[in-house]
Amino acid sequence: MPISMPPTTHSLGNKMIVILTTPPAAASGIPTVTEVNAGIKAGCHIYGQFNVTPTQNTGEGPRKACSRNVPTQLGLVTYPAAEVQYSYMPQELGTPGSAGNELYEALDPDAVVTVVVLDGIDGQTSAVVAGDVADIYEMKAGVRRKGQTGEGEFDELSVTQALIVVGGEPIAEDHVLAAA
Amino acid sequence: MSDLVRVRVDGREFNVGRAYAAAHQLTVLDESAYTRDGQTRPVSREGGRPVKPKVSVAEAAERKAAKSAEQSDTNPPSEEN
Repeated sequence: MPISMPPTTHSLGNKMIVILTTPPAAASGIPTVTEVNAGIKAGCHIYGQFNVTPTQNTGEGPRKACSRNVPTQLGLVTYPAAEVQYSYMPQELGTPGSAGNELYEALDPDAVVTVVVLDGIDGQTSAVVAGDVADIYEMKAGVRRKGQTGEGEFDELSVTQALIVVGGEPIAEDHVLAAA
Repeated sequence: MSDLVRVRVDGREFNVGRAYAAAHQLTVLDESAYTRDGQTRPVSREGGRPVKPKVSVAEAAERKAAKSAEQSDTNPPSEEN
């Protein structure tokens, strides 16, 4: 009898990205379920992927006299800036609060926001619940670069912006959201 | 170009974009979003005091008791030859 395969999670459209402009009340910077649900559902504005992926240096460590092998050591960890490309409505910018410009208005250059990423939850879920697992980052927005998603007939106007991880590391990874 | 303003929400002050503040009818303060050295001003409590973790009286007493327990205030016994 063959062994059963382990369960997996589909990735397509299965990521929820929430951006909080109001800093979480807790000094730890970790938001509650209520605070996350009050945030902007950024996943429905962002094109493509949103991944905050660290890199780590590796290098050759010191070799002992008796050894003919050079050990590899782990080095410094860097969280590179995450590039986000999102939609906006240029002719509605004169009216603050217009539908479609929520993320544009939240990501003013130099603004510091809390980004909550929930992998494995349908991106169009309206509300998170206590017990959901999230990665939490404090990120600072760079300048806006206006452009478009491409040159073709199906493309849309978009803004691209770099988001850097404040403090150089996440506030929390795999954090179980609490109700309060 | 950056257009940050300082706002006050629920007794805390922080920076948001001017358009965001207008869209959400936030209380905009007549203060710069930047410090004198050009850095963005961090989140603060009302009046500009820094945000500190809340410590209850019970927690503070517990911490003090733990510290005093590890620091003996009696002299070590004299060594007799």
